[in-house]
Amino acid sequence: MQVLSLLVHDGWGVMQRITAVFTRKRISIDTILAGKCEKEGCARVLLASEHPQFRRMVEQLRRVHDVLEVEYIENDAEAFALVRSPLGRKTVAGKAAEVDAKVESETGAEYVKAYGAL
Amino acid sequence: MKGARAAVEMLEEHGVRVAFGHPGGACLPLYDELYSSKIRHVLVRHEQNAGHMADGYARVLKRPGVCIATSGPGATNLVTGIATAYMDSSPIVAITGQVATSVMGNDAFQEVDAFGIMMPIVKHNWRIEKADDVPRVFREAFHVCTDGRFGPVHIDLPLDVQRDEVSDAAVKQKYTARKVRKKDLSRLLDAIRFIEQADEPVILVGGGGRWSQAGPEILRLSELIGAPVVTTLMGKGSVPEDHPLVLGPVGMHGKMVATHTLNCGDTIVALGTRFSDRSTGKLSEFGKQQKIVHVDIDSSEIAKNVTNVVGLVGDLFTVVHALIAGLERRALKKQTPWLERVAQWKRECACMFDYHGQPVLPQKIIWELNRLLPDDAILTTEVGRHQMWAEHFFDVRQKRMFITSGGLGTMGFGFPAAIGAKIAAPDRFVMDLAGDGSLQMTMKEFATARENGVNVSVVVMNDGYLGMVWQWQKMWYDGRYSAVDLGRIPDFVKIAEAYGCEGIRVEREGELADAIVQSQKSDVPCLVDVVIDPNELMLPIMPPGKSAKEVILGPRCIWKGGQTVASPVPARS
Repeated sequence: MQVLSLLVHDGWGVMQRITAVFTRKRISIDTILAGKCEKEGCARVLLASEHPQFRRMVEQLRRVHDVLEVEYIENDAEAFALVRSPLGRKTVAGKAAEVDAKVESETGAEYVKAYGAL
Repeated sequence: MKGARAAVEMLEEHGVRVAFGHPGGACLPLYDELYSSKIRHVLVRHEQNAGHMADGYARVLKRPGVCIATSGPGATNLVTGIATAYMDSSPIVAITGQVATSVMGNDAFQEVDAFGIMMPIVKHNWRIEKADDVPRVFREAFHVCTDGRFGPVHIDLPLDVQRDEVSDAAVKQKYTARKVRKKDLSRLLDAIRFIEQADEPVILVGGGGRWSQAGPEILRLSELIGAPVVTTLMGKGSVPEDHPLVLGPVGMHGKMVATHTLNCGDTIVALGTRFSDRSTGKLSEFGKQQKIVHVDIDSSEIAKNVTNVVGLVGDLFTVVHALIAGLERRALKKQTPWLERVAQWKRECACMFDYHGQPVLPQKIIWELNRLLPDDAILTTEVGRHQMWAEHFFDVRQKRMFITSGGLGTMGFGFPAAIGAKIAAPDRFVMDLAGDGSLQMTMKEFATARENGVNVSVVVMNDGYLGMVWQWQKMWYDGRYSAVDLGRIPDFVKIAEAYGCEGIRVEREGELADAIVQSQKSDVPCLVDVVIDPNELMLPIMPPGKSAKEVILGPRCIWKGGQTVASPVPARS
């Protein structure tokens, strides 16, 4: 599974701009996750896909004015999670059950999770 | 201060002197403020042309052009103009009115989701929801459209926002742009090593060369490393074509010497080009034997179409300077044998295209334009065969400029763009080279040109056909001419006269020179309607989807170098 982690402006229409990049290149996104983040006025979006060209979308996404940061995360994991613990932001990847367990163990911490649509 | 007032003040703050537009119900407050403003408003007859005029204006001044339209049909009409600018990276600030926020989404009268429609064809767009956002959004818009790679931006301005009060604090609030990484020269040493080791370097210049006005720097680099310069359609005019190292345009209808040199060299220094299929031909065949250094201001262009390149990201002007600085102190090869070969090819390609015929041959028109236009003339074109004749034969020497719709290929672009260009540079002679099909798309703007005293001249290559499509049907569809005969062509001279402009009809080549000279002297917009030979083909052509080895030369081309296939077109007697 390939994951793109995006920091974006929080506002209406942002998701449309992001998905338009993939529409233009005929890439289907398997998983979309979006939610508020620690920075004010910003949101974090996680996109996952199996498409071979998915990685090359990093530069295309940087062109979108509302996208502040793009990070490409390649892993063979089934699932991916981003957890905000008191110690800071950390990423968890691995088998779906493992990720679930790790997220569970961080009791009360805010998190977002993505599962590969396999 | 009202929202509309704030919008106009923001335009004034950014040095806007001219706005092109068409009013309507949803931008009445804005037009009310324009009435008492110093901004000159040019009323167009169709919103699409407002976009093209702003585009032409921006291409001459390298500053944002402003166009205004109303909601609904105004916004949808503007789409073609904006998309043209987007494909050619032209900075435009497009403002559309919108229905009031209270009824938005209710299918109100003249409501369309302009915000959603424009989204894929602009760098960024905004829908302002409260009047206090007006100053920030306008400042941000002007920043975005000229920051990094140029491009159009769009502001959707609802009616109630135009009417509401803006607080003084919001007007005074300065906009601070987010810091983004614009340059990436981490591979500069690789690039320098490639260029240093090259035995047959070629410089390919795209539209970026024109936008960053880096012509003199590119020529310095070319002389330093001993590389001939070829251009794409959009790059035509970025370097003066009377320089001995400049070979002319490459691509589908490029010059054979340029296409051949580009494909024979061992290193390509590509400056500000996106490797469009019209320039490269078959992509999988392009640049297979060459090392490619790709310089572009937009990091997403690196390795988009042509992979395995050494990419440098940054403004062309800066990067070329960095390359020159890095190369200057090295012991570079003289490249004498390579340059002699290229010079030989250039001689082999230099044909006399002063062809005589009755009806007039299109090449002859370009020949006369080369001879008669002043050295600072601006030539715009529409889209079609005339555009390709101009690309192939027109000599953009000294300060001449060549403006064309390269990316989107918008028929009808040239005439409004010429009006925009003339408004940007009133002292220069501006001519639009048009086809009879293209001109009919936007000829209503004669009214705008006449009314505003914009004395552009238009030369129409009138063959009664949609020539480019006709040619493709002839060459690849067995001569089944489907919907290309324009039938009874209107009398363009009478049309020009009906708009109060001057019209001259040319049927013999002897009358051509006089007509072109007369059109320069005319004190109203002037149209020269030249009847051309409809059977003359635009050759050579690199067939679509084919590589540079498969160019069809045609009977007139004198090119003998390179490997080319025989022309399927019978020789003319």
